[in-house]
Order: sequence, then C-alpha cells, then structure tokens
Amino acid sequence: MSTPNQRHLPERQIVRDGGSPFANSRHRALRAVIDALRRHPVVTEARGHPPSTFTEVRATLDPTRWDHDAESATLRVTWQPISPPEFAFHYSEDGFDCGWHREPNPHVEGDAHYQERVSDGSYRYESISLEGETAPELVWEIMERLQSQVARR
Amino acid sequence: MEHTAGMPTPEWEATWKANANAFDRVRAVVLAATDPQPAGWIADHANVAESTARDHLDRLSDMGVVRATDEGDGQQFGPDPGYVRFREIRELTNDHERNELSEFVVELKESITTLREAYDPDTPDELRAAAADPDVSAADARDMQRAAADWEHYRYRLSLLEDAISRYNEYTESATPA
Repeated sequence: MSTPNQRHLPERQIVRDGGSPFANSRHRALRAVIDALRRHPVVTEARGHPPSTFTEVRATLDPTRWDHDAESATLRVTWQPISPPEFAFHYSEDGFDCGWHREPNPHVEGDAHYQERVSDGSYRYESISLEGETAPELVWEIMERLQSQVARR
Repeated sequence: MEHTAGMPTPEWEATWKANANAFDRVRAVVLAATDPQPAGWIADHANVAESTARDHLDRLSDMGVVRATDEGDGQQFGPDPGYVRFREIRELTNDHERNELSEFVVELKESITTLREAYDPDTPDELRAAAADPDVSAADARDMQRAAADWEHYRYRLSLLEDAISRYNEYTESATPA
C-alpha cells in the first residue's frame, strides 16, 4: 500500500478548501445524473467513469423492461459546467446509437439537438428544445424521449 | 420517424413522480442547482408545492445536506459543500482499496499536467480570465472555458482523493469496533 508523498505540490494548497465556486460543479452535475439514473426503472447500473478522473457517467440499461429487445444497451453522459451548461446523453445498443446533446454543432441550428446513426454510418441531426433545466429533470426527460425512440425501432 | 425525436414527451414528469417521491425530487433539484435558489424555484423544478419544498428544505438543512443562506434578498438554498464533498469521498473509500486510490492520483496528475502544458495560464481561474479577452475568438474562448472546467474538476477530485487516502482507515472502519 503506497501513500504518495505529494505535500510539496502546489495544487495541494490551492485546492485545500475546494477552491473556486466552479470547483465541484461537474462532480455535482454528474452525481445528480447518477442519482437520477439509479432511480430509473430501465437502468441496472450507473457510475462515474473512469473511476480515476470521473469525466463521465456510464449506465447499463435493460431495455426489455421497455419491451425492447437489445444487446449491450448503454448510456454515456458528459457534462461541461460552463454557462450555459453543455451536455450529451448518448445511447448505444448493438447496431444503433443516438443521443440528445446540448452543445454547439455545425450540423444544426440552435444548441440542443438529437442525433441518430443512419444506415451509411453517418448521423442525421434534428434541432430540438428541452423543457428540463436541472440535471435530474433532464435525465427524466431524456430517458422518456429515449423510451419513445427505441419503441419505434 | 423523421420528425419524432424532437417532440416533447410531457409524460417524463409523471415517470419521475412515480419513481421519486416529493422529498427525493426536492433533494435532487437542490443538489443539482448551479447557484443557491429560493424555495419557489426549487418547488417549480421538483414539481411540488412551495410549502412542501420549504418543509423538505428545512429538513435537509437540519441534516447538513442543504445550506440555507439569506443575504437580504430572501432565503436561498443550495447544496452544503461539506456534504457534497463527503459523499464523493465515501463513494471512493467504499468502492476502492487505498492503493487503487493512489493510482488514481497518478492519473489525475497526468491529466492536469497535460492541460498545464497545453495552455499558458498557470491556474484555471487565469485561463478563464484569458478566455474573456476580446481578442480571443468565440471558438477558442469556448475551448479555454472547457479546459478550465476540466482543470477545476481534476483539482477538486485530486483533493477528494488526498482526503480519502489520508483518512482511509477512519472512513472504512466498521461502525461497531471489535
């Protein structure tokens, strides 16, 4: 068991009390996403990934609970705590992937869009507007949209 | 199929209510709020009556989950930073051995070094300030803001790991000592 000796490093002093008001923003947003996903009936597991840097959330889904048969159904969520926050909720199953993103994208007007993989391997994009504002609202809203989307497959 | 993905699905609120009670929804919204907010705002977003939100916020405040502040413009509620911090530390110590946590420290420091080498400023705050310079293009400013957010995130996580490692035995000892 190694306990690293890092007392000489400058980061240690700066971050001692959590640093600036931005310091825990992404942790809080991603934790809120994990909390909400863990309550969702189609989600079997949700955790921070990778465990070292915790840059995103990865969830495993059981879409048979939506009467949808799919192998390896997963959801990845990233969050940028800038103003306004940018995020991506991206669903994948064997042979298909789609996502609800709010971040600038050259293919669509506006910040929020839906994207879906089409037969030639590229994405088709659609501009959307989301009702939810906070992370838990967005999780429940996007999971509902995902349910309707996979129901059409 | 073509124009369906953008359609609103108002049922999401009912699904949320069916899977999380009023207390859980108030807790979820206040912990996710970017800035402290009045009870009415939290009630709107949690889909509860304001009086209900207020009751739950008072209870969460007693529990140390929420911090209530009043700076002259009415009472506002936000997550308690100590609670937010300890939840993450507890998750780290519950899920990982101490030597794994030490490996995470190495990976985080590498990520910080990569950012530090990519940008001139020495701190995330300085990088954010540099992004606000009028001579910086909108696209570059966005990249710099994202990098500053990454940097803050890594530093915060590093501080959690250092705490988790240095007090590992205290945080993991059994509730009823032998």
